[in-house]
Amino acid sequence: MIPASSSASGPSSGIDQHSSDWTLIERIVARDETALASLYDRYSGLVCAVLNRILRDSAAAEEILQDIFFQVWRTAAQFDPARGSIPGWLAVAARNRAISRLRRRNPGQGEELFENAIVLPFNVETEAAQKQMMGKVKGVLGNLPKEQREAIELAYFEGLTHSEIATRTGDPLGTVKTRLRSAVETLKKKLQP
Amino acid sequence: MSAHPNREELFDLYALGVLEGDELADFGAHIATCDSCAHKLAEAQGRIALLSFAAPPALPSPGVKESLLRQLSASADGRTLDVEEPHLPHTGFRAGWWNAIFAPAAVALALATILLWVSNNHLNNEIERQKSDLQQLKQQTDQTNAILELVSARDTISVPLAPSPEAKGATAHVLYNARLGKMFYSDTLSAAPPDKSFQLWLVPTSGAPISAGILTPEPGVGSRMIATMPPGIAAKAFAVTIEPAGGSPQPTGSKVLVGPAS
Repeated sequence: MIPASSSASGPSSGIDQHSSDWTLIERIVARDETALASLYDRYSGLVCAVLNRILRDSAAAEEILQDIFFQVWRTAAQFDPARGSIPGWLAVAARNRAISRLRRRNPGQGEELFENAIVLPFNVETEAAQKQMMGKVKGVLGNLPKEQREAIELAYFEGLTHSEIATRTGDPLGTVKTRLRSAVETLKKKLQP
Repeated sequence: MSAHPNREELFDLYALGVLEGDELADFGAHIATCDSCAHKLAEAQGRIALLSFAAPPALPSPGVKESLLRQLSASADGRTLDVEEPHLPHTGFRAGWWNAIFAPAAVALALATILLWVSNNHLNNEIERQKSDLQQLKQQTDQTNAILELVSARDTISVPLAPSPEAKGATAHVLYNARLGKMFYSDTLSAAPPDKSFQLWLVPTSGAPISAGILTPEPGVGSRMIATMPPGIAAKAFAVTIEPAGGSPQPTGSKVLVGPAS
């Protein structure tokens, strides 16, 4: 049981703020609720931001947020640090679930959380690292040509494919493909450690 | 095992979720059997996941964490519902009397809660549906406005396209405004041959043809397209060619529809 002093409180709750993600996962596997609370404090902002950006509905976003962290609790034993990182999985799970909800597809409440390997090129376990990453990614996107930035945002935050983006923007399919190819090449160059 | 992807950016495009059709199927099939490409994809997934940091910051309400922690405790206790058990005194007649009053009330409350929950879910679904409809309506309005702007501009040209024997009986029409860089196209083509696409081209007075996009005819209806072109391109002609599925950077196949701009 979580001690009353640590429940529902923010980062200053006395919960361990210094353990690595992997240590927290090991403690979660051992059924330590304070470890999940720490992981939640660390990444709920990131997950909530993605969900809100896609859904633009805070109630739906919070429902999925809770569900994702409960899934971490249930499936933590499947986590393999050699196959990726927790923030990567959480961000991808948030994006997939939100887009499924947005497009009224079966959200697949299942076990996809740790299914695909996702290697995040940076360590973002601290709040400072997350803020730094936010600035870096926004800077890279902000420097893309407007059409490339719009295309990549339609793809990532609305889950649209090449032809769906072409339909949405009224641009030729070939133009959309060229824009996205250029955009991901730039991201690859600029978002290297 | 199939050949490795021939373009590096395919990994990031796959992670971004924009690939479709044969490109998606081929890539997915290869990844499932190739460890080195699966590793490249894991890295691409990580790079693309960083885009999450571009979302405007948002913090959940404290109630979410409270609820999550209650959910953990309930699951640890083997309970599935997060309901506090009332601590009523068990004192013979008095307890029986209170139970007689509160038991039906608790049942009624539970029923009301279920009804409210169902109603809430229904309303949420309705809101989602209306948001989606609104988005579609906005797209349609944008397209209608673009056509109106094109039709009402005095310098818009109207070009009928004549069919080749391959597309005998088909009709097509282009409205094009070089100043606005906008084009509206419609035809009565039927589906392209298997593994082929119809592609619309603007042939400028100088320079190579410019793709206006892939046409996707609907049975019995034909194709409609609003295309944005680089502004200021004087047109010599418009043409539709048969290209490999997904289109080509430059026309390679036979012309099925052609119309001179003047």
